[in-house]
Amino acid sequence: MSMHLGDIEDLVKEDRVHRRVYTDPSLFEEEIRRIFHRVWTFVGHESEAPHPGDYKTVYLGRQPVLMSRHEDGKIYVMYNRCMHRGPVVCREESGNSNLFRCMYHGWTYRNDGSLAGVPFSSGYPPGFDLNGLGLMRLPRVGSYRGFVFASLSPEGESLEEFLAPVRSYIDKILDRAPDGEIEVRCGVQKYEYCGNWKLQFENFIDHYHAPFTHESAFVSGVGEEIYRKRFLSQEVRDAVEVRAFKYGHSILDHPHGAGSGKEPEAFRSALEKSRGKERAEAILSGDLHVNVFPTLLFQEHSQSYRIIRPIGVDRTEVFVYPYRLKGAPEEFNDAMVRGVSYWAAATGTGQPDDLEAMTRAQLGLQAEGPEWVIFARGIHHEKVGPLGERISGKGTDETGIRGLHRYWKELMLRSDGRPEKRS
Amino acid sequence: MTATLDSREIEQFLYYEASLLDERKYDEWLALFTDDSVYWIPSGRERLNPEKVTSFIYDDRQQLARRVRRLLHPAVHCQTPASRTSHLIANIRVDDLGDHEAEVHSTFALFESRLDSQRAFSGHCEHKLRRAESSWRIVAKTVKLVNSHAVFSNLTFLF
Repeated sequence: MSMHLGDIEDLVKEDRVHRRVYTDPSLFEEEIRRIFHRVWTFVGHESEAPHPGDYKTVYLGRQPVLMSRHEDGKIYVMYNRCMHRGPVVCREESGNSNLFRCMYHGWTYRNDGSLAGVPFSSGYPPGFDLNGLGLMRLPRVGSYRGFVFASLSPEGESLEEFLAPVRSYIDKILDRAPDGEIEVRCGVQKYEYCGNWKLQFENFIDHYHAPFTHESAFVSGVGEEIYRKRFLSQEVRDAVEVRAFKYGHSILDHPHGAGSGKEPEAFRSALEKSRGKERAEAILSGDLHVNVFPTLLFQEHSQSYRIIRPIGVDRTEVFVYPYRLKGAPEEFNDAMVRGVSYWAAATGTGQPDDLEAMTRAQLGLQAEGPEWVIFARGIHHEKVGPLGERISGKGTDETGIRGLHRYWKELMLRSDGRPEKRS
Repeated sequence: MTATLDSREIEQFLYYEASLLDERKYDEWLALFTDDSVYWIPSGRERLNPEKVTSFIYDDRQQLARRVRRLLHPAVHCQTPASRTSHLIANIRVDDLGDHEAEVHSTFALFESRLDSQRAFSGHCEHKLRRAESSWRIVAKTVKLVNSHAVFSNLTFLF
């Protein structure tokens, strides 16, 4: 079934979208093509492959990708696909190997993808260019502070431009490390749900849901009274600011975040020593959620980020990566890494209630009578930044969700899936 | 007091613990854990140090109590309706550690049903038990799922 561009105009309005945006398999196929096989997508962190030979395998959209560090010290991002007859060369999630050997016919590649060997190579016609058959590198690869991104399209805005709207927020999160770097080698928590990937992106920038979805977690943690005063209060929740930016990114900024002022003295003094008292204070106050379109979600005080992986229109996996702050006290980092799963794992006290909500959303959206998903909260009092670069709202406003769908619409409307040429 | 360790008594204890979980008697189950106890479900393929990497669950007694409190809250949406479970325990081997402590290895199969789905889990379990007066209590319980690297949805019932 071919999709007409006019369909998208009908499906996405300023304060609502049609349910098909979450449920239509043909729209999902278009998303894979126009979003996941095109925009800058997070692949992995450099600290996941610190030594030559280290590698990890991921999927960008549906395409198998291999990220590896070569002996020249650089990170390479390639299609995880033997250039002979096509098998996935590496099936492990991660590991170390200075050669990748396809099990089928023994073709062997180095960590930069170059071809190291072809068994019985004399069987090829004279002049046949085997050397050109190294693992194919992705068209565009970039890195920001260790975060490796790739794009399956050779054209489009630079990574720098793409991240610019949220760069200062990412910096703040990473500057919590006294040494300015994080280390992502602490394992991973994984969960899945029977729902569309956009439900997760929306849930992460939604500050309205928490007192209801997470009532059991909050009450069991702080008791009924504090729950009512601090969580079940629109005023408290609206004290958080939500901002939507270009390229579909958004942030939540809690002015008095979960840990502000409560961090251990050893951590605070390490940070002050490295950055000075004033900058340290700025870094330690507030608590950010940063949604980097389309798949990367940061949760500052949880010291973790997540990657969304769309599998099908109604099936999504999410991987949660705790990380260590280099230069912070060992016990502090240990406790932060251990603490992530108590909330965010499939066994967790928080995330599973979000999964229940998203699963129910996908089920409910099968109803064809009610057609619209409504996100009108705060649309009447949005504040547009002076350069038009951001739109702000109060915590429980659905500003970030409107921002997601605005950019979604823009990408889906690009006539042939290729980015506009810059004039 | 030295007493020969009664393996059958320990087996019965494991079955009793499982029955408390299957019957969702979480408060009684929690009471089996000593104050210095640890409940650990490792994630990922390798058995790395749980102090330094993320695990599905790595709770001391206090955190386990908070987890149970949450599971018993009326608004625990991911367990509404609740999972129904059935634990099968086998291959039980008991090592007498002396000093009224025992290490118990077992294999389990757990069937879980919630709403339209039924799932099967299996793995190896390690209990460290301590005898106090007339009963055994749990000092450490480690649940090693065969598919600890897998991607799961709701895993909020207790193993």
